[in-house]
Amino acid sequence: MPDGQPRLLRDPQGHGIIPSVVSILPDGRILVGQRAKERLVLDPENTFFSTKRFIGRDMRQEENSWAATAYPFRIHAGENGVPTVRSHGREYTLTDIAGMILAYLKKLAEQATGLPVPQAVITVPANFNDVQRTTTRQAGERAGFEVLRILNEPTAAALAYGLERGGGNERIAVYDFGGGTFDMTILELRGQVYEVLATGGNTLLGGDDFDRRIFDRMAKAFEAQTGLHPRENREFHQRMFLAAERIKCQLSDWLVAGFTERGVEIAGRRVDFQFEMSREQFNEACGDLVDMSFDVCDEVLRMAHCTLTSIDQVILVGGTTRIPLLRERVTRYFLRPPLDKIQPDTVVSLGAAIHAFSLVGGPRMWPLPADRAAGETAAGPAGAPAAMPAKEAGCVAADAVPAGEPPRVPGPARGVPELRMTLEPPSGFGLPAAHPGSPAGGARLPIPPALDVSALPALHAEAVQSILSGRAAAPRPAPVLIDVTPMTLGIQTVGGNVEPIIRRNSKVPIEKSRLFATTADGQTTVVIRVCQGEGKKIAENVVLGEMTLEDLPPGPRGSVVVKVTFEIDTDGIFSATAVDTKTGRAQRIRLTLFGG
Amino acid sequence: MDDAEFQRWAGAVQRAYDALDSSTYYQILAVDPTDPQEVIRKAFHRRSVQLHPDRHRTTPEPVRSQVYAIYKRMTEAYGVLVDPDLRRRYDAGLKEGRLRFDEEWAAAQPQSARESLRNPAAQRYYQAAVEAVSRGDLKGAELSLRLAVAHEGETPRLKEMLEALRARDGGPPGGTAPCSGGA
Repeated sequence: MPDGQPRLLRDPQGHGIIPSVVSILPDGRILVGQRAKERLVLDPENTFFSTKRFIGRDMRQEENSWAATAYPFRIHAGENGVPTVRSHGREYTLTDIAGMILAYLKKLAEQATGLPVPQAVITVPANFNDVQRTTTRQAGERAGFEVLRILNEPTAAALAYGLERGGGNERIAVYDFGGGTFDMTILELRGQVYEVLATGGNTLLGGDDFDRRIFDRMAKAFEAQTGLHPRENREFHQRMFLAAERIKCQLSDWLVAGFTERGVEIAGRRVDFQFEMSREQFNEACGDLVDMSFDVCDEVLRMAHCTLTSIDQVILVGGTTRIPLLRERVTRYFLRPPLDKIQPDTVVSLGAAIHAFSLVGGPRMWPLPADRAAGETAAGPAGAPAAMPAKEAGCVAADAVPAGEPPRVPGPARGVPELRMTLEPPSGFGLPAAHPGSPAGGARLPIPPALDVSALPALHAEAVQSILSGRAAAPRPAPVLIDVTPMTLGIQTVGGNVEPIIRRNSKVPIEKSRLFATTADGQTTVVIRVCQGEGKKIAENVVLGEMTLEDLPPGPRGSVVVKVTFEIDTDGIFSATAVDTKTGRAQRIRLTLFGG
Repeated sequence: MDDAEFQRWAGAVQRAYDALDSSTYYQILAVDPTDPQEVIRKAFHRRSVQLHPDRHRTTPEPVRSQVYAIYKRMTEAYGVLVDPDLRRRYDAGLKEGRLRFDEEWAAAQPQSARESLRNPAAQRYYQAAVEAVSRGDLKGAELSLRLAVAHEGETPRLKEMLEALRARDGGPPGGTAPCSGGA
C-alpha cells in the first residue's frame, strides 16, 4: 500500500481468501472463487478444483493416471502430456484454469485498491519442479501480469516472519503442509540476508490425503449401513467428499463432527445415512500421514547440516497445520512449540507482497537512467504491496496461487476501506542490518584487484533509496533472499541412468556446463533428455522434457563437440544455451517440456 | 550515487567479469584459502547484498548481465566452499590448476573422509567436528572427533585431523574464535 505496508485485500463480499475453484457455464462464462465453489455440487463436471496438484505434470505418466478417476471432472493428457480438462465441448489446459484464477485475483486487487495492478509475485510450493514453475509463470502472463518472481512459499513465509522478528541471527524451520504437497525448509536469517540452507518435500503428501482417509471411512460406513457404494449417486458422492473435508476442518476445533443425510436416492432406493467421527478416530486414521512428514524433516536437517537444537523457531504454513494432532507432533519433533502468532493461511501472501515491493520499489544498487526513472520510480517507494491469497477448494488448503501485486501507479489511496491491516507496524525491523562490506574488509586477503568489488562504496539499501528518490527513505530495507533449487537437475545417459548436473539445494541463480559430442558420422542433431529428482535412474525422476541441439555442422562422429550450459534462475526455472566449441558459435537449442 | 561513481563501479564489474575464468573460487568470494566456513559465509552474504540479481533489476546493461554472470559464479563457488567435503576435493583439484569444481574429475578421486567412515555414528560425529571447527570451537571439535574414533577406530585420517587440532589448540587465544573479531 502507499505507505509501504503490506496488507491483505478482501473481495467485495469480505472474503480474504479466494478458493481456487473455476466453474465454466454452458454459455462459456467463467466463474471463479466463492461463486464457483457453490457449483461444486450442482455442476461437478464443469467445476474444477485441486488443479494445482496437477499443473505442470505429464499426464501420460503412470503416476498421474489416478487423476482421471479421483475427481468428478476428468483430467487428460493434451499435447506433450499437458494436463487438460474438457468443459462444454471445449478444452482448457490447467495453465488456462490457473490463468483464470489469477485474472480474477487481478481484477479483485484492482477493484480493492482502485489502482492498476500490472505486476505480480506468484508463490509456489518449494518442491515445485521446473515445469510446474514454468506453467505457473505462463498462467500469470496469461492473466495479464508481468510476473516479477516465482517465489517459494516457505521463503515468502520467512519474509513475513522477518517483519516481526527481533534482531540477531536465527535459524528457522518452515514446516509447510498444504493441500497437495508437503515441504520443509530451513533458513538462516542474518540481518539483511535470508539464506535458504536446505529444502525438501514430498509431492505426494498433502491435506487432501486426510480428506481421502475420512472419505474412505465414510464410504465404508455407508456400505455397512446400506450395502451400496456412494459412487452410485454421483451428486451424493461429491457431497460426501466435501463433507469429509468439512469434518477434517471441524475436528480442528471440535472433538466430534459428523454428516447426516436423509432420503438419499441411490440405486433405486431411498436411504438415510449418518456418520460421526471423533477427533480420536481422526488421529488414528491420519497419524501416519503426519509422521511421514518427519522423514522429510530428518533429511532436510541432515542436508542443512543442522541439528534440531540449532533451530530457533518453527513456522507453520498451510491450512493442514491447523490440525491439532499435527501441532502436537510438530512440537514433539522439534522440541519446541511452533510460533503461533503467524497465520498459516495468509503468511505466504504477505511475504509475497513484501517481496514484490522490494523488487519494484525496494533497494536497488543503482538509480534508473533518467528517462526511465520518470515513468518507473514515480511509483517507487510509494508502490503498494498488497496480497490476496487464493486457496484450494475448502477450508484448510491454503495454497494455490497467492499473489502479491504491487501497483505501480502512485496516488492517494482511493478505495482502501476494503483493506484489512494484518500486521502491526513492526518496530523491531529496523535493526542495524549487517552493513555491506566496508573497504577495509578486504584488506587482509590476497584478492586480485579485478575482483575486489567489495572495496567499492558500500551501498546500503536505504541510502540508495533516499538518494535516488530524493524523498524520505524507503520504509525499511528488504532482505536479500538467497534461495535454492529443490531438486537435482540431471540428464539421461546410456542405460536409463541419470547424470546430475546441478545438485539440489544449490543456491540460485546457478549454471553448470557440460560437453556433448556427436556419436554418429554426419549427425546434425543431439537430443538431451532433462530430468529433476534424486534417483539414479531416469524412471525414478520427473522427466522435464527434451532439449534438441539442432543444425550441428556435419562431420565424423566425435568431431563436433558442443558445450551446453544449464542454468537455473532466481525463479527456479531452467534454461540452456549451447556453443559449438570449435567455432565458438552459439548453437540453436529447442526445449520441449512434458506436461507444460 | 552520481554518474562518476556508477562508472567507477561499472568498471570494476567489467574487470571482475573479465577475470571470472581465471579466478579461483576463493578469489571470486574474496576470501583466503585458509578461512573457516563462517568467514566464507559472511563474505558470500556481504556480496549477495551488493550483487544479487534482485538488487539489479534496473541496473543498465551491460553491467546488469555482467553482475548476473559474476553472481552465478559466486553461488557456484559458495556451494563448493561451504561444504567441507566438496571444498576438500576442490582444493585437491586446485593444486592441479582446476579453477572450477569438476564433478567428473572429483568422482574419479578417492573417497572423502566422511565417506571413508563406515559407522554412521562416526560419520555424524565427524560431521559435527567439521562444523565445530568452522565455528572456531576447537574443543568441541576434538570431543566430536574422539567420539568418531570411539565408533570407528582410529583411521589414519581421523588421527591426522586430531593431531592437527591439538597443534592448533595450542595457538594464540584469539585464534579460537575467528568469527567474533575482525571484519
